Amino acid sequence: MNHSTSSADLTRRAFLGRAAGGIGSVALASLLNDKLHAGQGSLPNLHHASKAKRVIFLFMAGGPSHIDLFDPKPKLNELDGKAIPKELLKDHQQFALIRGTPNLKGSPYSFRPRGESGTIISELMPHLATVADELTVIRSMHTDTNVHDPGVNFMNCGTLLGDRPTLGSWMSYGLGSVNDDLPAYTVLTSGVSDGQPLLQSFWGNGFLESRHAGVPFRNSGAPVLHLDNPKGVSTKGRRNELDLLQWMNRRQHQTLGDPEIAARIASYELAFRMQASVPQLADLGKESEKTIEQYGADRVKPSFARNCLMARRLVERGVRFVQLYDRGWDSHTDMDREHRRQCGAADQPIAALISDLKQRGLLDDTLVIWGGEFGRTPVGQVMGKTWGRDHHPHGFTMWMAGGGMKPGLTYGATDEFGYHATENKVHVHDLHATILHQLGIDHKRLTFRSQGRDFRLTDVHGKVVKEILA
Amino acid sequence: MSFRSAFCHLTLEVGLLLLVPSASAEEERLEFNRDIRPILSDKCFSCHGFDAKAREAELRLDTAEGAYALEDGVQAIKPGDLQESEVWHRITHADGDELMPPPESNKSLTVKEKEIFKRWIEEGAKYQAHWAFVPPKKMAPPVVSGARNPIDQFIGARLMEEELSFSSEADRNTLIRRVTLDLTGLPPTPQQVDQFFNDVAPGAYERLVDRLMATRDYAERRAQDWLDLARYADTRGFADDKMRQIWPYRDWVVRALHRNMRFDQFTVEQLAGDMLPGATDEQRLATGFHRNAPQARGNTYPVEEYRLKGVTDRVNTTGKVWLGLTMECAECHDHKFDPISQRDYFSMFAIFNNAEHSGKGHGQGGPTMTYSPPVSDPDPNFLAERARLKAELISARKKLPAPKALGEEGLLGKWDAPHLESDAGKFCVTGDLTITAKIRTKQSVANIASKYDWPGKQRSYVFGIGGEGDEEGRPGHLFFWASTRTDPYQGVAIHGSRAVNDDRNHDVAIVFKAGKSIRLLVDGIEDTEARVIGKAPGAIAASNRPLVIGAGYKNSPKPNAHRFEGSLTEVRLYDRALELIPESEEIRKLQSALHKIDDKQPAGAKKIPVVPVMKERSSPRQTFIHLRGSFLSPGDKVSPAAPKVLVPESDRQPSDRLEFARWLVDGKNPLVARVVVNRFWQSYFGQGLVRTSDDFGSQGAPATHPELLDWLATEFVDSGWDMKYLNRLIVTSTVYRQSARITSQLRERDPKNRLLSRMPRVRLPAEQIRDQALAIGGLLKSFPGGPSVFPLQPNNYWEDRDLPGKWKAGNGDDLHRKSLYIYWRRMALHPTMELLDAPARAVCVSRRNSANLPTQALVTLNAPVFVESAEGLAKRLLGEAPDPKERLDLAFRLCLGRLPDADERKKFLSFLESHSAPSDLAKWQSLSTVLLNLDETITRP
Repeated sequence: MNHSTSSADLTRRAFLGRAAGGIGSVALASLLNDKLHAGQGSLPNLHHASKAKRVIFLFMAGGPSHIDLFDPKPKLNELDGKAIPKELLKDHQQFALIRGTPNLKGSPYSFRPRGESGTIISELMPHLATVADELTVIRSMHTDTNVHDPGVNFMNCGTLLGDRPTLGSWMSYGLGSVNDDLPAYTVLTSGVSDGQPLLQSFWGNGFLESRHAGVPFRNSGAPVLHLDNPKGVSTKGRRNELDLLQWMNRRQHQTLGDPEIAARIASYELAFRMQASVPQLADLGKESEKTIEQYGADRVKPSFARNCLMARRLVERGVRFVQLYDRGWDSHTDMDREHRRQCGAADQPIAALISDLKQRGLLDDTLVIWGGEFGRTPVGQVMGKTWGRDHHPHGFTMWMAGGGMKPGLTYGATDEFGYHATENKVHVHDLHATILHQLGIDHKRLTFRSQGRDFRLTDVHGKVVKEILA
Repeated sequence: MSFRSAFCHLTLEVGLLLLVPSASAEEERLEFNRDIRPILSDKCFSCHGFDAKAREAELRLDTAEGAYALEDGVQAIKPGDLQESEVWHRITHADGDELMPPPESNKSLTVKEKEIFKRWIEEGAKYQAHWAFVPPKKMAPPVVSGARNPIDQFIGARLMEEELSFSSEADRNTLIRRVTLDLTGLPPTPQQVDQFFNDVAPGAYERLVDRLMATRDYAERRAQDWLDLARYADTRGFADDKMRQIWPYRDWVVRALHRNMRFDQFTVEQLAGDMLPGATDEQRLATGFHRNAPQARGNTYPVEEYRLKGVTDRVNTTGKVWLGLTMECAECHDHKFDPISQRDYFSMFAIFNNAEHSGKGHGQGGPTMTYSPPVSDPDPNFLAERARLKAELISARKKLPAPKALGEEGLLGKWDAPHLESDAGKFCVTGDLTITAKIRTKQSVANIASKYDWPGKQRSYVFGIGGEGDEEGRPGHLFFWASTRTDPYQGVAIHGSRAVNDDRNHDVAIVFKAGKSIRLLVDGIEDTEARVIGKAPGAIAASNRPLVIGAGYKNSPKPNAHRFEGSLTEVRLYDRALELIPESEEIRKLQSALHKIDDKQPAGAKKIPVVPVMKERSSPRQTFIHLRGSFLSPGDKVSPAAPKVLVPESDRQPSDRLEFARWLVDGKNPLVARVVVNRFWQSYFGQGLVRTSDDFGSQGAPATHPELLDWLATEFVDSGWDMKYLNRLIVTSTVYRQSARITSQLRERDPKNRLLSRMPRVRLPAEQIRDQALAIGGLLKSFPGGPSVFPLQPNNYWEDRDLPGKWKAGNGDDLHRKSLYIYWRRMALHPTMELLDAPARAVCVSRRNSANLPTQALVTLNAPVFVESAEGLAKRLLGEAPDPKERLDLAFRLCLGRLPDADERKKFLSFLESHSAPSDLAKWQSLSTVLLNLDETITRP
């Protein structure tokens, strides 16, 4: 690589980050000749044609109740209050919080078929019902733990410990970024504090380079840490500083020929551009009143609704992976109050997001995923006058929309109690394999060599659930 | 990044392994370890390797016996006979069903790899044991010109083979900045640069190195790397992620490295210090190493599962730190690539499976100790400052008229040692009262004078340290209370604001004026921040229990509780409220200053933390193999042992933690010394001689300079495991002193610098980027050790993530301590550290990532600590240099250890002139921001 660094080179170099040193200049030069925006147009060297280019993962942290939202169980309602059948507890270790032998608890909510597809959705999500035909509902999810943070880790990176790269990091690693001015992997948070912390590992890059880590947008102050100039420093003042800085760095680069310096030069330019692009992104001033109303958002006040709108704005700008954490679904004590509260805040904006994406032609190649780290028990947790449900990993519901999924399909089933996934079971590894498949990636071939082993998101497991693909 | 690039990356990494043989293919025979094993390991071993359960067609290719074996008339490899070697036919087969590796494995051999394979079979298909399992041999270093020590001889010889030579020596500015940053983590001061330039005698550089290696900064910098390995953090990990007081272990590491403890001892004490005969507190503390394992709260319901996670982490960490092996690969099944069986894994597991695990409440989840930091190893800077203050204090006192000796007036008694007064009726002070004493102690709870008995409901007054262990009391702090009734208590209590149990001499006093006031005095000055609870009563009750000096009561008829240990003299009791305030404001100020720095570095204990350490259970736990890695499926019972492949059959297996630790460093282990010296190498050159510093197994990278690695490993052991000696050897080498310039020739011939034809530049670690900025800004506080500190953190950083606890930013000096001392929260590391690639240390990390990201640029441009540092630098420049030109020179010298050249001077001065900021300070701060962000500044040159 010669010493003159054109701006296109620089941009590219910042993407490459440290890899500039690791990849070697020959490979680098060939990369520089690649199309800059790999994501716009055909993606070269995918394992197969992709159906989705972006992912929005609506993570209902705490675990929403499949039995009360998507998976009605008449038998359970019938046996409400009876002790849980013994055969369900076979091979069963222990509930997370329930002790002793609990009683079955039916769902007090009414369900009916929605849309042309007849997708079953409970009364708690009336808005979602209006886009029922867009959904691909999987009723047969199961996972490996009934503890929150290992569960969230598992849903993100396929291990309980959370020491591996998360889904978004794998995407960033495999597909790169489309928008130079924004992080490829963004995390938005909202909801009710219920004592379940959001850990760094939930958006961690594991052994991948740190540029593949998720960037959590903040709800207080600037969305990205330290985005604002210090007091008294204007944009122009900062530009002047950067001009002097870059002049020095370029001289250094000429003297030493170290490609890391070029990467550093680019990172400062990107930082400067982010200082403009992120506030623009977060400024909902130009969104129409209708849109704001549709989402039920406030232009300024943080909320899940605002985050849904932000998610649309992010994917519109080419961000690959947006993960929304909505907290407060961990309804142990008062199912009715807590799930009504959560659905009240999430239902309308989710429906709005799907319609909005569709209307803008983005839904076709944006995969929307909804779900939590697990579901909730078909047995009740009685708390005095109120009741709730405990954590449940053996069978629960997630749904997807857009991104080449078969719309209007309800797939898989749990037993008559909603306890075990029984039909067409989908494990978290299978879900990961399927998501990557839609992105044009063979989950067995997206690997990273660490400690002598080729690691992948699905470890040595996972199979693509072909039946749910359009 | 395009999709293609991700794969380019992998291909190239593999390609590299092949670079070596292909370069001199004609004349040199292939070598199994260098040329063949990497291919076999990567492409074949997962089905034809060590793991018997996964073995296909009963064929193993990891041993010669397996490969040469004749099965049904077919031989996988027949040495020298390509046509009779079935392997050859299979890897070149056109048919997908016959082809190896099978297409569905997503593995395939490249044309080049097949070519190498062919040659190897033709050359006789000789096998070799994996190099890392063969003990290193010390080869005589080749003779090379320009070499200063054997390191240079090995590196130089390799360069010569490639018709290259060392790059020229870096200039002196670069040298001092490089070695100072590397050794101390801080930039050289202008004075240090001058000193180095003025030292024109031969050996100036070596003298500089010796000076730097003697500092505590050196130990702190090396400790930083070790703490990544030790996964040291202030919290327990998992969602709960509560604080635990394990910082005394961190300080142990610094002390040990400062003293240059032998590495074998360093190993044994950390792994098994508690089991050494007559283990000292320090040795027990060292075992905090393995209590750094993440530990979920004890009452989380899969208690056993969480306990086992801790043990697993100990096995994996030990494997990585000392053996450079990926032990974790053998937890669920035999290792696919290396000869480590699942039985080996659980035998080693048994060694670490014997610590108690409380499982109750939110306890520490294991054994603990109370720990008083030692008095040794005071920081020289601190000592100098303290000596200066002391001297000033003495001379200030001399200026005053001789202080009035405490009079006899009102004196009821005087004692020079603990004492039980036999006459209970004596010393019933009921009005004004003064008690004075000279104390020296490390205790956190002790009484000085007590006329009180709790069961007997006989209260009068007590003066002491730590409030008799009451909740209101503060350990190590003075307290006094007086009750106006013998029962129940009603009166006044006072708790001092500073600890006095620092093992230094203190004059302490309590002055009580009935109905009016109560005051505590330490070293002649009043503790104005003492906390007073209640109002001074008009009278003190008369207790009918005897006065005790140097002890007290506690639910006991005997005066045996809260016994004072240390020195307790000149205890005086008066029935007056004496005037003890010094007459001079100067003395008060000096004494306050002395208190302040003493508080920063206690000579002894202040708060005595409860530290998690290791301790063996009296009856060993039984250990079973976990089938498929699940503890719910126990397999065979195993005994404690080290991995078989590493223990010669004639040797006895280590049977407990202590034996295991000693076995690691008995000098015979083929891995330990290599792994350790390789990591030291990595910390200076950015990558090790073995690039995969955490994997010396079959899948790891072969050493770029195997003879050098072995020479260093054996030299390290021969030197008595002398870490400073080894580090000194590296940084005084010609290799280390080379220029970092990448010429076009070098870029072409040695693009990745595998040959070390130049010195690599390395971006500073997170801690050093911050510490350097603080140092340049004149803000860095270099007090060593103590509880972790809380510098500023963005508001709501934890709250936004619903993390329990609250970040209470410290004040004063705590904001500017070295980053080594920042509170390390595993689940949400301080963002400045996290964004600059410091690991959260949830697991052992042997090599950090390093990136160039826009989010990092925003940190060094805008984060408050960098803004403060820039402001600090600007103030320094304005205060220390008279005109812009000299200020600029000073700025460059502080940041870069050099002067600006003519172009730079012009450019920077014109930047200032055209700057629109309203004040000089703002202009210079703006310029300082630029300097602190330069690539040159944040890179180790």
